[in-house]
Amino acid sequence: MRHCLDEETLQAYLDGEAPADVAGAVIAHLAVCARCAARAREAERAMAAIDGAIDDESPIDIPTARLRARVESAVMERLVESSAPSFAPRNIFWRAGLIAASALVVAGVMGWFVLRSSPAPERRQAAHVAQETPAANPPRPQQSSAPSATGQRGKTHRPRFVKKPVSDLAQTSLPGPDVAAPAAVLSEGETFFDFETTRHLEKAQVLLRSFENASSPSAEELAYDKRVSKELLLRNILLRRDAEGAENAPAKSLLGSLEPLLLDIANLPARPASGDLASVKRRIRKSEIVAALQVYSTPTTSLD
Amino acid sequence: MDCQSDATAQTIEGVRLNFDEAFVAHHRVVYRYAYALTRDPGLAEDVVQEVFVRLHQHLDAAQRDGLLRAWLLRVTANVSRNAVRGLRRARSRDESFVAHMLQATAPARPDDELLRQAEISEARRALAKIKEPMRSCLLLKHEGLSYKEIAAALGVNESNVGSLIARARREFVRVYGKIGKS
Repeated sequence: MRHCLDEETLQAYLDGEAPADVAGAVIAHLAVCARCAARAREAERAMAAIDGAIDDESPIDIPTARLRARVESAVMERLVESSAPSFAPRNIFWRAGLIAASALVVAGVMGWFVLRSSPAPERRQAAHVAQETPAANPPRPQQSSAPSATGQRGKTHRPRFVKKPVSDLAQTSLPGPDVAAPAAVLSEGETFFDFETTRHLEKAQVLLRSFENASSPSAEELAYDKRVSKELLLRNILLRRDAEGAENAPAKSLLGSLEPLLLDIANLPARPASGDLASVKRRIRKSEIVAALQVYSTPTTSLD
Repeated sequence: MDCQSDATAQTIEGVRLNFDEAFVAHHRVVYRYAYALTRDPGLAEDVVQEVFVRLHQHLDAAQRDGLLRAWLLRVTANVSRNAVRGLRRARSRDESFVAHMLQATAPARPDDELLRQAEISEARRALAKIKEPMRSCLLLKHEGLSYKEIAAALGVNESNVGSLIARARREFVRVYGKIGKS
């Protein structure tokens, strides 16, 4: 190479990007051209200064755990958003059809109730007799008019899961294990939340309790906890969003406080340091969430 | 640990990764680049989050040409630009006032330390004055990207990368010298 090096070739050589033949020619030229050799030295010094400036500016600690938690949470939220059914009406006919179908269902249900509530002739007659002799037939509560086998043994039939109206739930305050007020407004056997939420809280309670109680879990146990936690986390986001939509403040609050703990467990490394485990356990204990979950995932009779 | 991960990132470039592997291999370089562009740790975290959410949505497309790192850094540049634009609008002058006050009330340091800090500050200012895409060329070169990857990340011609780096270097020397004299 007889001519002096152009900037681009020199830079590519310094960056190790020049092809082998070009690099060989550059080396040969630098050996005989003092001017280009000085330029190369100057360029190297400048690049070292630039590297130093970039190093000084670069953050030393990368918040890996926090970034991972944020990314996973955001990805899950997007997944939930994309999997949630869209209620945006595509066209007016679809909407009208939905309204008509709903009206038909409501009319059918009401008709069925009307037919059922009108007494049959023999029942009507018995009712007439009963009205004439009130002392012989003391009034009974409506629900015991057709007592079941268990009812006859002196126990009332308990519906396992009962959907609580939103208005009632809004009056209860959450999340606190010592909240006793909701129990007073619920009848026996009812749960505070709907079936799905109650089941979810029950599972979360089992997970957190077993995680908290395990002194030194094996790798398999931890992997299981992490997997369950991830599953519950996804479900938790869905339920929390439902609760938000239904303006169910207590459920939203409880699920909201559960979410970071599930995230913590799900994000534990495969072989965590004892400090990591202890820190998550401490957060679980501090939040007192296990007690709250127990309260809100149990039918009210068990609270007595 | 950083070096280890970056080395891993280089060796697995060109191999199809699942989302978790991609995060482990590349989140550091994405964070550092986002930080260099935004100069705000909180904003850099926001950028990383958005970049990886987009990666999750387009995992296949991102690896189609075997340059996942370049794809991530291209998205990082776009997201950072938007984030900085939004931040500039939102930020009030209070921050510069706070910075000024902090500087004014900073405890006195030994002379050597002061001199070193001044040099670092000058180099940073010189780096900040280099225009895009030259500055990004320097940053990505520093992160160990090849010319091919830099070209893909910045959307420039590969044959121009060497020239852009050389111009950035000259610009740095020019501004750094000027600041040093002043």
